[in-house]
Amino acid sequence: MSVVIISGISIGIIYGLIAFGFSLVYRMTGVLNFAQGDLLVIGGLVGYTSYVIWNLSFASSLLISALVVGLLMVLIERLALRPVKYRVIPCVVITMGISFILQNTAQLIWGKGGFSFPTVFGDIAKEVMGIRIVPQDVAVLVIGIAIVLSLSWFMSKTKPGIAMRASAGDSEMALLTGINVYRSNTLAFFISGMLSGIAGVLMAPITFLTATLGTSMAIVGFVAALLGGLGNLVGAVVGGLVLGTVEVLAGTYLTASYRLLIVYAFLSAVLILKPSGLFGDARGDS
Amino acid sequence: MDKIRRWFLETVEGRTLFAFIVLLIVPWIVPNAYTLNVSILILIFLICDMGQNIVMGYSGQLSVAGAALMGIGAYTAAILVNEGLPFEVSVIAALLLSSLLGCLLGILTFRVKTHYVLLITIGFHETVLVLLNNLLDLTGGSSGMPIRPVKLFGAISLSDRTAFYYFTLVVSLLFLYIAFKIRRSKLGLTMLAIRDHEKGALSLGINAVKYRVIAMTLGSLFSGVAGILLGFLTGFLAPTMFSMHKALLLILVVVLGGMGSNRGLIVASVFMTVVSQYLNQFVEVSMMIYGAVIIAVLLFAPGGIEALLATVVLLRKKRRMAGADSS
Repeated sequence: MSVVIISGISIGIIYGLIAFGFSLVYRMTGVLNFAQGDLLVIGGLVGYTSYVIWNLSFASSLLISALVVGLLMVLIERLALRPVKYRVIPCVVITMGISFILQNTAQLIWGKGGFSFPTVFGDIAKEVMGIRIVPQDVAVLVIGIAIVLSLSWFMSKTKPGIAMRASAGDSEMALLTGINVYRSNTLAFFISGMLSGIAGVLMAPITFLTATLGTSMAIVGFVAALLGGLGNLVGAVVGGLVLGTVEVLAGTYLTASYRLLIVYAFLSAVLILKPSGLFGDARGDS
Repeated sequence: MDKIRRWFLETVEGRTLFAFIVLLIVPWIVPNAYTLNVSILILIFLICDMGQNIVMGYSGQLSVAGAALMGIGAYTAAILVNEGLPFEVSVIAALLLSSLLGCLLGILTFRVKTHYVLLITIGFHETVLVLLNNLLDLTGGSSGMPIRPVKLFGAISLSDRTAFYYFTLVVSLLFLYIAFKIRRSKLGLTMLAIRDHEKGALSLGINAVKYRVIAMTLGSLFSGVAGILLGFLTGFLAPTMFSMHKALLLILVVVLGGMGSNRGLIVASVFMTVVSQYLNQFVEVSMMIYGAVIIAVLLFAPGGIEALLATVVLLRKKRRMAGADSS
């Protein structure tokens, strides 16, 4: 039982990272990035290349894939989303197009088959202080919590972070006080991309990496963000934790093959009962 | 002689008649069976692109349920026909089911907008595909299922390609007519009003939810029709025929045609069907090409083909007026 719960929470924290990226970008610009899942897959594949093929350390693979995906995200924002002024329908359709391109590119570079990422910290359960734990899950959990903590420090204590929060709250007011709102937006996209890259590498040893995994991952991140209230950053992480735990529990005790359907059931329930999510929608439109 | 030629090419009635004659003689002028098949595909995809246009172009709902609804129509009709029911009964049942599901989807999305609609319809699509792949007894799973050959009104065999062409022609002209009628009717104009300025429409006392549900239902009816035709054309159904890829192509056509425009949509739809036949040779990169096209259209020509056509018409009008001045 403890193994299942810890594995649920560690998947949950990964979902939380994806959802945080989603929510951050949404709160800053109103864009819902459907290519997020594919960026995550690219992150995982880049991590695979650097860790397995180039034999780099796990930490540097994590960093490389975070940077690669972060820069990709900045490119997307600059070249495709800013020119349409972040309007909703064009942006959704454009990110869908980007998702097509990324999926196809991933297939061309890494092939259509899947990759199994070797476990870095071991996946055999051990007994520690009377609780059975899997080292892999605990490591993911620790890394995830460290990232969430450093993000919250960044958003509340550093100048760029505060500027970002200001422009998310009221972009015109922020402009008046001399904040470069566009730079803040780009930064939000960069952070969101980095989170996707990291989540992809953390995710890789747990799931089987394929180029077409992206769509379902985008939905998972989206549902988690929605659960916590779209645009609510703390809510996004909590939503991810809830979704991950529920999904793993359901996958273990019910049928594993219908895992994704459970996510959709959750989604429909949230949208019908409380479209603003558990903690309220930051932008107030649902 | 010159007068007749001008009547055919320059008056509205003449052009309509001309187009109609061309459509009628297609089976005799196409060089081979493959081209006839492509012509039938063009007509079929016109119907489902029109359906997507009603949902997305007229009423502004970003739905990707089109392909899944096509699948539901196709599979329902095929299963019933294979059970031994007459063609007409199966088709009516399949259409009822697909429009009912579309209506339910519309109701399900009543509290939410744009991206949430997209999300719910993605969920719907994936659920339908999971079911198509896993209900082995009913659908044959991922290996697909053959459909028994059918006869229309118990007499005309639809295995004959020429007969199938005329059947599809009648159906697709009927549905195009309906779509054009809707666009000009109060129903269509209300949908456009809600799409363009929802708050304004609401303040005029328009029930936006009702019109969204109507659009969704109509759209799924169109998708169902196209799905059924596609199924009986190929005589075989597999879940990959209704993949997310296909759903996104529907969106691509609507964006390319210029959201909500009928004539732009027709041009875009015919163009896409022909191009996708050609791109079948490059399966490896086809998704990349579609993605690039959709982004390029939105960035550089957000008005789509409709805007292009409007410019051409305007230029010609200007030239004609200049000509009239000088004479």
